[in-house]
Amino acid sequence: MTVTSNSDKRLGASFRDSSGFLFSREGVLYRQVNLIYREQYDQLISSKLYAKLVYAGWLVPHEEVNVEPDEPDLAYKVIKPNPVQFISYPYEWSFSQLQDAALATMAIQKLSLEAGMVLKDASAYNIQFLNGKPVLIDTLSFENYHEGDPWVAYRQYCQHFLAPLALMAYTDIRLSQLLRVFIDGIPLDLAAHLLPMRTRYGLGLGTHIHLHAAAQKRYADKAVKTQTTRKMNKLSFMGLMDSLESTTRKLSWKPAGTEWGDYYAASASHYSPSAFEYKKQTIVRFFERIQPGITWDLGANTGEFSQLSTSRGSLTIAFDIDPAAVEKNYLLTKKNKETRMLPLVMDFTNPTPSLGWHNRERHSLLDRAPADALLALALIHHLAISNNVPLPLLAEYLHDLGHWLIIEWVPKEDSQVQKLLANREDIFLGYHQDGFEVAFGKYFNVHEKVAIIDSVRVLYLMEKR
Amino acid sequence: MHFPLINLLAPILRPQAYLDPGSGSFLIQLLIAGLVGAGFLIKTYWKKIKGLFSRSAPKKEDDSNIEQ
Repeated sequence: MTVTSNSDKRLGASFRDSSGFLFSREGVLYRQVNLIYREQYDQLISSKLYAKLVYAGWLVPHEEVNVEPDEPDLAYKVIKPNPVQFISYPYEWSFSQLQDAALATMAIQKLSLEAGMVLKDASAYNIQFLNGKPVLIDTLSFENYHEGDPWVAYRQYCQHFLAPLALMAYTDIRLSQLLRVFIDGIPLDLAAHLLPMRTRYGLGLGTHIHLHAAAQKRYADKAVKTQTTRKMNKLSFMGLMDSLESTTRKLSWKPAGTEWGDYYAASASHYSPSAFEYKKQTIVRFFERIQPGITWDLGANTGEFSQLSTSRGSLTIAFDIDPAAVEKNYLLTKKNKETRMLPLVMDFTNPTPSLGWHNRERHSLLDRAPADALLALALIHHLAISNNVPLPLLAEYLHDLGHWLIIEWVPKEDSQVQKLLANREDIFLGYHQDGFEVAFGKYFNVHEKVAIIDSVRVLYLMEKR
Repeated sequence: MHFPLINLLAPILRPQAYLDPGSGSFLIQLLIAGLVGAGFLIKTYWKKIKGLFSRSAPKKEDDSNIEQ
């Protein structure tokens, strides 16, 4: 009999597939490979598919370890995957991030076929951004390819990738948020219903979404027989993969007409060049003092200030509410081969909740905290005034999110706050610098307070109490 | 009426195949794959023919430094 340590914890998202599961022990993440998956695991390694995928950067590397399995009766091996520092979800990705995750899935499928294997699932949640690139994190996603079999994950690929991408490209970028509601991807009948008529006539979306949705409706509740002579030959299989890949690749979205797209171009209106430069230098000095491992930039826009922390070696999660800003940041990150930036879409007035089975499959933003440092520049007025959040509640929330806090105080006299107050009554009597200092002083120690020259704003460096 | 069509399906469900592929998804996949298979063959050959006439040799993945 094996005694497992009290700290053993099987991960909440790891239960669907009987091939194995993730568990953590003493803070280290392991994956148990079950006996049922022995043949496939051995094939993954012996066919060199594992090595090829890791070499190409498509699969998270792991090492086999001599650690007591979490469920020894089922176990074949225990592996220790390289840790992913920050888990993100498809409903937090911009268009190109989801598209790159989809194309990564297809690239992995192609390499797998060459090695006589195939992906047995195509879940967007199996992809994570590691060092700026989409990587498959589920080592047990492979099975042996049997000529004649259709692709078991075809429906999942269409629901997790193709449908949301098509909706973002053709209907509205914000429809990526449907992924929050539908944990196994967007139902194809819903996607078909929301997509414009013209998408019915293209070969790609016309078949993989519209025809597919119609077939699902027609054959819903009808059992399928397992005995047949009709099979899908390898050429047809590869043709199907090629069609999925090209349909995915052809989709595109260009941000246009969004509120914040040209934020920095317009920033001259509330920052003089000297103020802007002074702000940057002060933040750099703060970063050099605190040396954070992980920084969360809570209103990053296109990531101009996030770059100050990535360039000092900090993995930086650059959140913004605007999908256009996040898209721009991601494309720039990709172009510059920046490995420490992860741009994500996040609305801090309604941050990602816990989702899925037992509310434990997908983590809330709070579950993924704390960060070593938070960057809250030109953010406070949006939360306190546009969203009416009292300063003490804001201080409490930020206290839960991170250890260090670099925050910019934006007073009522500021032109941006004046804009927010232009068409509404000023009910924010507690919104002043003293109120701010009292509210935050309860949760943080202030280490530095720097007035930005040529501006009414003030930068603070605070540490969690 | 469409039962014979359903009989043409062959979801060979092994223990590792934990996903429900869905009857409609299976059916339509066979149909689409049948349609695009021929096109894919032509595309592949066309690439090869183009490769014959281009100066540079077709790219081949170098996996010499991949270790198992």
